[in-house]
Amino acid sequence: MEKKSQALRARRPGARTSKKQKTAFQEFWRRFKKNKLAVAGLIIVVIYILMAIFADLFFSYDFITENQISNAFAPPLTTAEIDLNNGNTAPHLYILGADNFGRDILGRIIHGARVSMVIGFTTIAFAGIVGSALGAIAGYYGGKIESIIMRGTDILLAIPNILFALAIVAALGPSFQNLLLAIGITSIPAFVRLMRASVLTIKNQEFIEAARALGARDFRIIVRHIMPNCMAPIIVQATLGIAQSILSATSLSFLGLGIQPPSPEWGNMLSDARSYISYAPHTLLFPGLAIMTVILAYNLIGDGLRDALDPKLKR
Amino acid sequence: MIVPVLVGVTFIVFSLTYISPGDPARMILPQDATDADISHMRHLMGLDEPFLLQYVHFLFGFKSPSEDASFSYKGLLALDLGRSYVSNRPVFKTILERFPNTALLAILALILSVILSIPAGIISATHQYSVSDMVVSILSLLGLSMPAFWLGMILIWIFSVKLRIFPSLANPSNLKSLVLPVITLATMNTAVQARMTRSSMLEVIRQDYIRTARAKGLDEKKVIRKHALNNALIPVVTVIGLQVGQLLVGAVLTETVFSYPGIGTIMVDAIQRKDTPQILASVVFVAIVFALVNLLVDIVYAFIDPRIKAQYESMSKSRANGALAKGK
Repeated sequence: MEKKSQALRARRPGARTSKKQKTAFQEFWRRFKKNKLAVAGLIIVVIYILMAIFADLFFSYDFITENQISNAFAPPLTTAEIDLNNGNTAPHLYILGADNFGRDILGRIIHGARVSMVIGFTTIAFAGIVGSALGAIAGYYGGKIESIIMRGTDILLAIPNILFALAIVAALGPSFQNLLLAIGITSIPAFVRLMRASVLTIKNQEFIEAARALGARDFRIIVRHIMPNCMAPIIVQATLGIAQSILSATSLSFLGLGIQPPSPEWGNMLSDARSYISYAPHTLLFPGLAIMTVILAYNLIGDGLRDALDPKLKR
Repeated sequence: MIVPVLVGVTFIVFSLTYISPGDPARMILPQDATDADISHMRHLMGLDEPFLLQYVHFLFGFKSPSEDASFSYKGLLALDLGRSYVSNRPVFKTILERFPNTALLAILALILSVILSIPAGIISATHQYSVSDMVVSILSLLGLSMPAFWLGMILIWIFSVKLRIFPSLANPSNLKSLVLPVITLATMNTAVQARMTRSSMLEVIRQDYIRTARAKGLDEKKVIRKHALNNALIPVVTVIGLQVGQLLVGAVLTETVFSYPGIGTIMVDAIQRKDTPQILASVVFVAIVFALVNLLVDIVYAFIDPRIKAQYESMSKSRANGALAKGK
């Protein structure tokens, strides 16, 4: 890293930013590390990401989508014979039990992590960038641009997420990409509104006037002076946003309108479990816990980020 | 300002329904209908018209060439979008019957969440790092992380299956049966609002004017109530406004879990059955309610933040001045 930044500096004589950014990141990391809960959250998310990437090493996709009806509702930690499709059977330890078709719940949770992680990351990255940019522009320039952006936001906000997502999925065809697009678009308005609200309260402060008096252009004022001071609420929102978008995806699947069984997805696992609440509560418990821990982890990271990034907390 | 929003919403929803695969004419005809039957039916239903004309019909009504009056409708402006393909009842009749149920659920949940979350957030912020702050923070993190439909099912398992205190099916005529769905629906909102109140309050408390208020010897309670709270509530109101949307989405799920006869169950049913008029009507109806709520939030927003009100006033003033200058 050190060499790289030196090389950068050597190439561009005036570029002291690379050094500055690096120390800023070190400073941020030093502060982030101090928050033990945030680090715990980061570890959990990393575990889920690894689970998602290496899901096939733990359980084969065929195994976790195949019915083993004789083992239906096997309670957690039971060993049962599974049919290998070649006339033989083999014992298998159901660590978290089996669902109503005798499929391994742990395996389905691990494969379900794939879907949820991809949805969480991509939708919020997309919505956060687009939404903050639009919000900053609306708040800074005001007038006609603001009206157009905010009316567009109102229109998006005026359609309930799930239904809008569903309408998009129904119209464009039920594919994973369309689910991403739908949830991504419905996540934008919150960023626009928050960013605009923050910009409105900041843009008339003295330091912005000072920057303008020094001849800074609008783009520089927005990106270097206004946006850094608006990041705290945006980061809180991004935190909630990742939670929200994973929830939206699982919710759609729970309603039977998202990812369809037998594909493993936490929401559709819960949808199956709903019919057996009194009979096999373990089918209900574990997929829900999986959703909860991953969202909790994102929230902890978000809190840590907020504390570490807030310029007002710097000492 | 609300009119263009509604036009935009109806246009988006209508376009999405228009381009979605699946032919409504084919849906209502028997399986063995010929292509000629289908195209005749499309004509009777007005589906062979150009896209924009169909949108105009959608807004202002459609007179079917058929003698069967059930294909004609008076349009959205007259709250008549025809009949459901499934039940053959006027779609808005079903919606208006069921909407009060959803509104009841959502309002109870909103009240519960505001009552719980704002005091919790304030206490948490004013006593940062205390035990009560820890409890509020942990509970709100858990509430935020729990999928509402899962929480609902867990509550059913504990309170209906194991303890047998509350029924597992909810019904608006039975207040006791509403306890579990309201808790389910309010949990997420409470958590989000409590966190927002806390973080916003923490930010405000560090401001200079709070130090000034304290420095002039003002009672701490007064500092919090008069000087900090009003400013801290601005982002909270935004979030509550956005949360109203989440409440309705949550209501769809909560209603499904508790088999509650609200607008959420109508939507899910209609979507699964591809009952186009019912889908359109439900979405547009909810969108109108949303738009009104958003308008209300904006008004409240200006009301509690005089700076923004002042800005709007000066903006319209300068615009008027600009117009005058141009006139000269």
